[in-house]
Amino acid sequence: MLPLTYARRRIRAVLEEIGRLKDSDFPYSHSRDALEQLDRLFQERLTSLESLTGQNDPGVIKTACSESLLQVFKYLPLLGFILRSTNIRNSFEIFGPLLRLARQVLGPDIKLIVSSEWEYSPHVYKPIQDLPGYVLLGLPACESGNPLLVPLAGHELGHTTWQLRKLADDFEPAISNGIEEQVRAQEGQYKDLFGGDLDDLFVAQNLAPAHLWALRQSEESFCDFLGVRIFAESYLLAFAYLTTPGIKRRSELYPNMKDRVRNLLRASSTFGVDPPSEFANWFIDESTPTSNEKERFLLKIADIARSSVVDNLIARANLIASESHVPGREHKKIDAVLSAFKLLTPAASVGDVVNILNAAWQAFDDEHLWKRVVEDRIDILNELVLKSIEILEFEERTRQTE
Amino acid sequence: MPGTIENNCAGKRFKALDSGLPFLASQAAIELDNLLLGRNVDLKAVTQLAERLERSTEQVAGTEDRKSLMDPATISVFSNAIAESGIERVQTLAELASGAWKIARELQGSREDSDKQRIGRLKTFCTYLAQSAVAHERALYEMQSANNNWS
Repeated sequence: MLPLTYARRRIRAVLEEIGRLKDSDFPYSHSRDALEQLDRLFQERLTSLESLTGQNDPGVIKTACSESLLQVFKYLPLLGFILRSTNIRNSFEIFGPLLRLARQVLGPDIKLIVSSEWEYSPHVYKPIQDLPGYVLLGLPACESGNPLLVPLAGHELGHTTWQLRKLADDFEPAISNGIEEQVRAQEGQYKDLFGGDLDDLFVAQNLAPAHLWALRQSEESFCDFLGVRIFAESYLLAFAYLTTPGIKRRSELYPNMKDRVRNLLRASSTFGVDPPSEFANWFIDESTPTSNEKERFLLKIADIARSSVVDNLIARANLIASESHVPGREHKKIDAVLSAFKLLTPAASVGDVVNILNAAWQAFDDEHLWKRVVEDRIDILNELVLKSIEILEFEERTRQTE
Repeated sequence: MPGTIENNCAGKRFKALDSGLPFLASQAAIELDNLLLGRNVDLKAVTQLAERLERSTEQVAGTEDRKSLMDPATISVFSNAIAESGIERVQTLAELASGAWKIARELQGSREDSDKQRIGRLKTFCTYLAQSAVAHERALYEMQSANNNWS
C-alpha cells in the first residue's frame, strides 16, 4: 500500500537527518539529549508502521500514516532549532546563568537549549509537551547576540513552568466558569448567533474556541508576570524593544496589546517594579482579528474570562518565584555594575544575571554614558554585558568546586 | 520518552490538548485490528486509553449516571469521534459521559470479548478518535504558527 510505503520512508528520512544532526558540534549536551529523545519518538513511529501489513484494516493503516505525518510536520522545525543552537551567532555566555535560573524554578533536571529563529518572535515550541523538562529559548536571529533581550527568557521559562506544574489544570475551572457565566449573561446573543439551548452538547463545542483562547491568553499572561517578577524593569524594557509600538492586528491567543500592557503594569505594581513613566503610551491599540460575528462574540467572552483570573496569575507567578528563592533586583548591585561599566570594565562579584541585565538597560538608556569616549556605544555595552555574564559564570563554577 | 505510550498515560485524564492522544488512539486501533486478525497483541494502548477515558467521567452521587470532566476541546474531539464512528448515540453531555464510560469498560474487556462485531466497532471508534485528535492538533499548531505575536 503506497501511503504506508511513503510514510515509512518519510520517518526513515527524519531518522537519518537526526543521525546527521547528532554529529554536530554542540556547545553543551542538552541539544544532543533532545535529539536522542526525538530519535526514540520517531523510532517508535517506524516500528509501529513496520508492524502493519496488507491484512490490516486500510482505515487503521491510513490513520497511523496520518499520525506519523503529523509528527514530521511538528518536529522538523524543532530539529532546525536544535541545529541552529550550534551557531556562533548565539551568545553561549548566557547558557550557564539561564540554566541555573531555570533549575531554581523548575528543579535540577531541567535542560535548556538556546538558539535563534528566522521569525521575528522569541519562541518557545509548543511541542515541549513531547519534550518535558526542556526550556527552549530562541531569539530572533538578528538579535540572537543581543544580551539585553535575555530577560525575555523569563517569559519562555513561564511556558515550561506552566506545563510542568500543570497550571492549566488549576486555572481551567475558573476560566470555564467565567465563560459559562458570560454566555448565560448574554444568552440572547448566543442563541441568535449559534441557535439551540444552553444545555445541549453542542454548546461545549461552540464554546471550545473561547475556552482555548482564554486558556492560552492566561498562559501568555502568566509568562509575562513571571518575566517581570524575575527580571524586573529589564523585562519591561526588553519586551518594549521587541514589540513597540505593535502591529495593528491582534491575535486571539494573546490579550489585546493594551490589555497586555495594562496587566504588565498591574504586575509591576504588585512586585515593586518601576516601569518607564510613558510605558503604556508606547503601544498602539490592536484591531479585532475577525469580522465574523460568532468569533467576535467568542473572543469577547474569552477576554472577559481571562481578565477574571489575572490577579490570581500574578499571585501565582509571585509565589513560584518566591518559593524558588529567585534573586531579586537590588539597586545597590545595579549601581555597582554601572560603576564598572562607566570605567569601560566588566562587572565582577555581582552574583546573579538579573542585576547585570537591569544595569545594562540603565546604561542603554543613558545617552551620556561614554559620550565622546567611544564611537559605538551599544556595541561596547553589549560586549561589557556579555563579559560580565562570563565572569559571573566563572565565579559560580569556581564557587562550586571549592 | 516523548510521545510514547508510557509517557502519555500515567495518571492522566482524557484531554485533547495532550499531544500524545493521536498516537495512543492510533496504537489502540492497531492493537484491536491485530486482535481481530488473531495476532498476538499486548493491548497496552487499549488499556491506557480505557483508563484515561474512565478518569474523564465521574459518577453523579447517588445515581448510576456519569458526569463529564472533559474540557470543551476534548468534548469536541471525543464527540466528533463518536459521531463519525457511530459507536454510541450522543445528544447531550450526560450521554457523552455515559458513552465514554461504556466505551472505556468495553475497551478494558476487549481481550476476553468474543464478540468480534463489538471489537470491530471499538477499533473503528479508536481510528476516528485518532483522526479527530490529529486534526485538532494540526489546527492548534497552525493557529500557533499564524499567530506568532511574541510568545
